[in-house]
Order: sequence, then C-alpha cells, then structure tokens
Amino acid sequence: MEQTVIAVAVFLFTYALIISERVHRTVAALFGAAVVLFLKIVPWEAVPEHLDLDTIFLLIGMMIIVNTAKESGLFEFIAIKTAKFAKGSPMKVLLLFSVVTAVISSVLDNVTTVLLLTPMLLYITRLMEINPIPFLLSEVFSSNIGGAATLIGDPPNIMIGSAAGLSFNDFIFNMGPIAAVDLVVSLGLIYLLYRNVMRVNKAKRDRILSTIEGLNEEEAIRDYGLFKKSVTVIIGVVLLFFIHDRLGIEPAVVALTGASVLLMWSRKDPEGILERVEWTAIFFFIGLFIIVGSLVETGVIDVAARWILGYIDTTGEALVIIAWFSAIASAIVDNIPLTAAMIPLIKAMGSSMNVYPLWWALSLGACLGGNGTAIGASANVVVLGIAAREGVRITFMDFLRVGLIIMLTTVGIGLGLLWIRYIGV
Amino acid sequence: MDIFSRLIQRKFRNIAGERYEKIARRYREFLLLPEELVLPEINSILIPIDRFSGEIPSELYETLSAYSGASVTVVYVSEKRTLSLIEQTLGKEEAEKLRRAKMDFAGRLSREIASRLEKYGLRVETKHFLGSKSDDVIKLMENENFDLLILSRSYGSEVTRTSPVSPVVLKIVQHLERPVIIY
Repeated sequence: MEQTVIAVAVFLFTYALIISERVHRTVAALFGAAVVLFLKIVPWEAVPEHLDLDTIFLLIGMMIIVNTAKESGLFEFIAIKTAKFAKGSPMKVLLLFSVVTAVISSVLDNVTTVLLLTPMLLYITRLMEINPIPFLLSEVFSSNIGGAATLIGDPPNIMIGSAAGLSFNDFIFNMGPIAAVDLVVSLGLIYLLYRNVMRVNKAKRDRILSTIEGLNEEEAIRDYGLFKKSVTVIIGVVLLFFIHDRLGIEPAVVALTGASVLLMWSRKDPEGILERVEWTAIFFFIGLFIIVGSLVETGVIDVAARWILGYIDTTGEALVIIAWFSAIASAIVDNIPLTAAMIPLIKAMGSSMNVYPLWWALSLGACLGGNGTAIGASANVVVLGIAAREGVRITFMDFLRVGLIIMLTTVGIGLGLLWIRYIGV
Repeated sequence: MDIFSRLIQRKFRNIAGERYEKIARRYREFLLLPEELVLPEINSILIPIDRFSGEIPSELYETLSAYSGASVTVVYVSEKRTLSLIEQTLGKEEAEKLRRAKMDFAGRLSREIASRLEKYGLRVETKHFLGSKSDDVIKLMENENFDLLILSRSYGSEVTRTSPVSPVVLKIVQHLERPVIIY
C-alpha cells in the first residue's frame, strides 16, 4: 500500500513538474524514475519490461536520419522551393506551407519540421507586410495533424504502434484519412477566421515575387552529394515502412537500417551526428517508461482500468471517452507523458473489450488535442518561441481562441470517422 | 497571462532553444529583406593601425576599390598608458626616445598604406597621436561620422589560437553600430 501511494505521488509530482517546466522535463522524468528505482517499486530486473525499446530505437534511428539530412540543407531547399511556388500570394503561402508542413511532419518529427520551416514563413510574411499569426498558427495545426497521420509522425503514435503492435499501414489506413480531412477543415477555419488580413495588392505582390525569385534554393544546399543521399535514404525508409509488416521487421529496425545506411554512405563523422541526437528526449522517454512502470508494478493501472470499466459498457463509449479525455488532457499535459500513462490503461482494458479502435482514439486525442493550447504540443511551443524571438507576440489566449476551435472540430471529425468505421451508424 | 509567456519561453528553451539559434544563423546567410540587400553608401572610412596590425591583405585593397572617391583616414594610435608606465619605470628620456621611435614607425607605416590606397582612387589622410587604442577609435567613429571602420583582428594586441580576435577589437565593435570590416 505504501509503495502504491509513493508511486502515485511520484507520478503526479513528476507530471506537475513537466507541466510547469520548472526543471527540464527530462530531469523531472529521470528524477522520478530514480526515486521509484531506489525504493525498489520497480525492481531492477523488471526495468527492461517497461522500457519500450521499439519506441526508443525508432526515435534514435529517425533522429540520426534527420540530423544527417539536415546537414545537407535539404529543408532550407524545400522551404525556398515552397516559397517560390506560392508566388507571393498569401492564400497560396498559407496553403502550400501548411500542406508541406503536414507532409514533412508525417514522416519526420514535428519539432524539426517547424524549426526549419518557421524562419522561412516569417521571412515571407515580413516581405508581404501582413500579420504572420494566421500563417504560424496554420503551420502549428498542420504539423500536429500531419504527425497524426503515420506511425512515425508523432511520438505518441510511435509509442502506440509499438505497444499495440500496429503497423505503418494500419496508421495510414486508420489515421491517414482523418488527418487529410482535418487538414482541409483546419485550413478552411483559418481562412474563415483570418480572411480579412490575407490580402496583398498587385504592386506589393510583384515586389515580393521579385525578391523571392531572387532567392536561390541551390545556395541553400551545403553538400550536394549528401543532399541526394539523404533524399534517397528518406524515400527508401518510407517505402520500407510501407512493407515492414510484410517483411516481418519492426519499424525500429527500418529506422536503424536507414540511419546506418546513410551514415555508411555519406561517410559523415558519426561522432558529430550522434552528438546531435536529442538524447534529452530519449532519456525523457526512458524516465517516463520507468515511472509509468511503477504504476503497473503497484497495480494502480489495473485498479484505474477496473474503475473505468465499471462506468463503460461498450467499445463505443470507451472510444468517445478516450478520444475526448486524451484530447483535453493532452492540451494541458505534453502528449508524450499522457500517452505513456494511457497505454497500460488501454492494455488493461483489453481483458473486457475489443481495444483495437481505442488505440486510434488515443492517437487521435493525443496528437490533435495538442492543438488546443499553446503548451499542448512541442511544435506549438517551438513556433511561439521562434515568433517571440522574432518580435511576433502570440499570447496564450490568442492561441487558445483559435486552437480550441481547431481541436474540438478536428477531434470531433476524427471521432465521427472512427465511429462510422468501428461502431457503425 | 505573463505566467504563460514565461512558461512557453522556458519550454521553448528546453525543447529547441539552441537548435533554433543554429538554424536562424544558417537562414540569415541567405535570407535578407529588400532593405537589407541595399549596400550602405560609404563616403568616409577609418583605418586604425598599430605595430600589431600586420599587413593589409591585397583582397581588402580590392574591396576598397569599390568605394573609389571615398576619403580614408589612416590613424596610428600609440597607447598613452604604455608610455606613462615607461616614464615611471625607466624615466622621461627613455619614454621620449620610445615615443619618437613609435611616431617614426607610425609615419612610415601610414605612408606605405596611404600610397597603396591612393592607387585605388581613394583620398587618404594620415594621423598619429598618443591616446587609447579603443576609446579614441570609438570616439573618432562617433564624432567624425565615418561610414566604415576597417580593423585588423590583431589591432591592439597579438592574437593566439584560443583568442583569434584581440580584446581591443572586440571592445570597439561592441560599441559601434556602423559597418566594420575585420581582416
């Protein structure tokens, strides 16, 4: 009993620290993990059971690929190309940048995507001399929506895929259509909310066009050989993801294979590349897995699952509750710790009902709930942080006013589609 | 709402602060706004020199040829504090001897640079005086409204592998808002 109380206290304290960010979230997670290990709430022999190596190695593999590809100037190249395609039209900038962000986010991590595209977006809006806020918000929403579409798009999906044994194609089939519809709807909503500020006269558009045409995307490429190799490996890895289940290999193996092939082929200094792997994120996951493991070891998860099952009779009810609970919770807590806590809960519910649709409800809520508030997802924080550094102030309330509408609409639509598919009309 | 702004900034620093700095630097290399693409008009140039400055590279002379017609002031500043210290330790006579030697060297070096600059169509004036290598250059830039400052990275002191730019140069550039070329 004493151990149960300590495990719950450590869990709540760590999550409170993560929300407040008073200390670095990785430090908070590792500290919590150290406490439960020190007190033997999670026995040392049980640690490997709780560490989800599929998730950890998939993240490491993808980080190596992205960090190597980044060196070539690939993302700056994409940003300039996108800007040129938009031809100085605010609507086209909004549309193209949102679609490109969503597509890249579905393959690479959201933080890297927005880190590399936001400076370009701010540059274009400065040229257009129009309010950058709708463009930045649309980029955030598209990144979170795009990330929801695939197994590798967002860390919660990686965790869900690994825990439930879901393949890349399962995600494409279930979450892909939802993400596509939600992207169109969110763009429509942004347009409706900000259509008055998205106007540029002909003279200004010509001036913008001539400046953008003056940008040379070739100049952004720092290493042409690496550029070609990175594109080839990324395409190869995505293709392998499509057939990994047929080949009988785990997604983590695909990512690690891609990473090692790119390192071998590019002959890049592995020390430099491995140094840039976001080890803080990896250790954040390790800490969380151990903290959530302490709840599993002490039986807290089973008790919570039984309590929930006492109120839920059907898969349909569970679908609605999990989608909305995870969406609202992930607008407040980071979606990674939320997913880490929800996964064992859904697994425990598996003894009484078909939980297959519930994984999609969790993915939907965890990925799209992040759109609700400025602190709901890492991509939101990064875009707002960059904007603040570049003199564009987007307050918590500014974000909330639009974010909440987007979150409620996109989760609602996604839930509707899941309901039609798994429960029926 | 300030609490949330601080929270967002803390989270941003922890998630991507350093990574963003690197990306922003990289973008700044090729993303310039139209007003930043306009070359500043340069009519007057200040070139402080001393015994540490070394030779001006030929590429820099070629760069300066783009400002043909501009006036250049080559100024040699001897550190007053060094001469005062010598006067206190070795006496007035030694200090005076050193001052004369410095002025002779300053004159020779300034003339040499001036003649090369004049070949590129620049109007050159030379000055040498006792003062502070950093404060007097900052004052000259501010009071005489020079458009461009050209400095050797070893102006004021020798440089090392660990400090590739002299502290005097660092102090000067931190106090100026005008364009500076460091060679």
